[in-house]
Amino acid sequence: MGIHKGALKRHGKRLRLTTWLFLCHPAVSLAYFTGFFLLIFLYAHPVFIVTGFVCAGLQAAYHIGLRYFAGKIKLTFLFCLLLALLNPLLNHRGAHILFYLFQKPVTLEAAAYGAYMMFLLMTMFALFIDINQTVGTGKLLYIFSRAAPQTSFIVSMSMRYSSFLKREAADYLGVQRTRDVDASEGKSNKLKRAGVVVAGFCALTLEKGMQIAESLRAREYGKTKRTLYASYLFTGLDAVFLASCLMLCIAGTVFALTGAGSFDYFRGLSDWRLDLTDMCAYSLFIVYMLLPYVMDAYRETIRRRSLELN
Amino acid sequence: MSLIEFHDFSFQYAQNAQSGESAVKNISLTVNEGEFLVVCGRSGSGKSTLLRCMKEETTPAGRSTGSFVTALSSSETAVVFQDPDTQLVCSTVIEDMAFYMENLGYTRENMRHTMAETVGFFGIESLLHRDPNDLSGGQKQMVVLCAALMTNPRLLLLDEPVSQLDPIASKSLLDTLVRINRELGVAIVMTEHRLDDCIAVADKLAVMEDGKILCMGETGSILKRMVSDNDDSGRLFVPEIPKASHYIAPKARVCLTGKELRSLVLSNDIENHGLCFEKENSPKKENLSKENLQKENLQKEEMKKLIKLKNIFFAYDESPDFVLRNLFLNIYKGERICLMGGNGSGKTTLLKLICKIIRPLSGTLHMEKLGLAYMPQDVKSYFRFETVKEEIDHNRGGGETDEKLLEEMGLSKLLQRHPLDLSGGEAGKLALYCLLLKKPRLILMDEPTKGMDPYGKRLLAGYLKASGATVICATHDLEFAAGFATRCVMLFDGSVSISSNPAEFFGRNHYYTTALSRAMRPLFNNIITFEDVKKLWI
Repeated sequence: MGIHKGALKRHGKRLRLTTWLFLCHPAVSLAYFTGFFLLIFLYAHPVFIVTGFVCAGLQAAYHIGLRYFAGKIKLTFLFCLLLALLNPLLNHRGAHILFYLFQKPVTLEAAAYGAYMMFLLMTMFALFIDINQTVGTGKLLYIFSRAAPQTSFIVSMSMRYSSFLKREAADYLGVQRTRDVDASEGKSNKLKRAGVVVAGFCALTLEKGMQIAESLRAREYGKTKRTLYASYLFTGLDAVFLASCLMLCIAGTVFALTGAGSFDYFRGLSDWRLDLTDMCAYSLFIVYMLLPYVMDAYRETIRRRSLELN
Repeated sequence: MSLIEFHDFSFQYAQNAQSGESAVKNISLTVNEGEFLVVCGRSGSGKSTLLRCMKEETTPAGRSTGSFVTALSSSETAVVFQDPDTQLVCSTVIEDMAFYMENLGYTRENMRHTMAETVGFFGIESLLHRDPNDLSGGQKQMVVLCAALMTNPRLLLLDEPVSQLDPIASKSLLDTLVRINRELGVAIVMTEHRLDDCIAVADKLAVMEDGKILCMGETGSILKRMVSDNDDSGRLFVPEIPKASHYIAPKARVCLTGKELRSLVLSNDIENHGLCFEKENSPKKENLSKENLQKENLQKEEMKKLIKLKNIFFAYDESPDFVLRNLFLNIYKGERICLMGGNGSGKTTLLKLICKIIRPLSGTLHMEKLGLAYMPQDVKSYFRFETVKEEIDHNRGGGETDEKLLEEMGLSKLLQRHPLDLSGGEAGKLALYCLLLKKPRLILMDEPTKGMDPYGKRLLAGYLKASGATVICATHDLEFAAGFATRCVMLFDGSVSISSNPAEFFGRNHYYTTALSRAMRPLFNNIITFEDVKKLWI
């Protein structure tokens, strides 16, 4: 029996919908991820970036399931590994020469910088996978719809119809293929036919577009200033979490400006050990990564307590 | 109290300004508070145009004469069109629900309040955060209807809302419409070809032809008038139940529901007329089934196998579930097969597999090399040229056009029109004409009767039978299948669950069967179509 690959992928995705970053207000969730991005860009130290990657990966796996996350990051890992390997071959800066390849030096500094870039890219990608599931396009649009309601609606509509039109195009081409089964047809005729089919599909799409416009008109779109339906509530816990993120980010920025967590890959490779300021910044960095789990633990505790009381 | 009134109203599309042809002519019509009006008529008779003229925002570009008076504001008139996909414009159901209210500038509290009670009334809370692309046809139309009611309209306009739904989903939508009409007092104007389920719920019926209202009045009396007509113009539109009741008791009032028909049959009057309705006269269900099976098997052995589907599995990329699983089906030369089953049961997928638009993931498909023609569900996706004439020329290749057929189908006057400008019924006829020009040996059709009036259906069945080709139709139109098919195949859970001749198929089914069969089941097993009534009541 044939096994459908798409089915396995879908089965591997297990969303933990009751975790904090899924449940909180979308703006809070987005703010947390923005803070995460800020911190990984502020600190170039290998310990920070490896920790950042591990935390981002664990968090994504926690939210969407390890199998789904591993499947998603597999290709990126290969791409990033390739970048890490290519960097020392193309970049020859640095004092510690490991060996010569095609008479060009391969340096330890370039290799270390390649590894740093690899981890940075993978952390970013892990965060994007996580955002895509926890915040998602719908919530993102909701956040930005206040600032630009019309644009937000058009983006939402485009998203709805992009997959719809993709399916329509596949159906249309399938039907058109059944109409022409002349194998002896020349190349020029085939091209001409393809042109006619594309024009036919454009006409069909325009027809659908007119029907959509008619349905918008029937619901008086554009007649008056639009209001917005609020699907999400901003709770006290959201405010506490947002304030904590904000404070940790500010503290992290201040530490970074004083030089904590910095690392120079090309001037003789700085000492990789962490000093006191680095340790303080690192502690705050870890606390930031752990914040969503703290919220989950807190919510779970009060939930259980309420169950016990009842 | 009247909500809208037309007096001597005519409407002419902007593109017909030169020819001077009006789509709607001299209409005088009143829709009262809480009324349920169904408008029927042939394809292109002006039903949809009239409906669109009832709300300012949906009135097409053109010129109108006469008067149209409405007591309603724009938001008090809601419209639901035929295709739900073009009406669900947002990426989640809840956004679509709020869309109309957002456009009217409702406050958030107001929106939440209205949405909570309206969604509760429809019982579709579970769909709120779903992507419209993931909903079935019936669910989509239900969501569209719910979204239309968010502004608490007093008049609801529906343009063939059940034409794309399977019989069960269409019944459920009509039940909801009845609740809206009876419980909320919303007046409803609905255009529809398939009157079978509507007549029991409509207060008034209007029949249109050539832009004019032929007759309008209380549903029962209009049906009586139509069924008593000598010519086919009205009679063809009359559903099987009133038609049968008129045949059984010509002087009595026509029956609108199965219950009424059963009472009529059982009434003493009928019994006294000596009509043979005794249960014993009809063959026993089991015997019928065995006899038919043996007969069918013998016939099939003599017939040539055209297509053999063996243990087929198929799933679409975006779905984790198999649409077809363990599907076995043999198709013989000259058969007319109607594929049936609920929305999403795999009918369209099976047709696409046979015409090789998609490939099975597992299993084998053996097929003789033969000329094949396929008509898709969205018939407009069949066309690619800019005029009807070009479409026809492309399909005839070097051959001749059948002028008589062209005339009979009413296509000769449409040659210079764009195929996408045709009505659903006209587009269906054009696609059928193009298919027949190729003289295929195998014809695959997906919902061929969608949007087609009874005349179109009769023509379709006649031409397909006359072509002599093997025909496989996916259809929800049970009455059409009962009269047309030589074999009915029901798909369920991705495989064939029933495959037998129409008499056996509809005789055995309790829910998925013709309106007449449902009505007569407690009395007779073998009444499926009006023809069966005629045979039994001599």
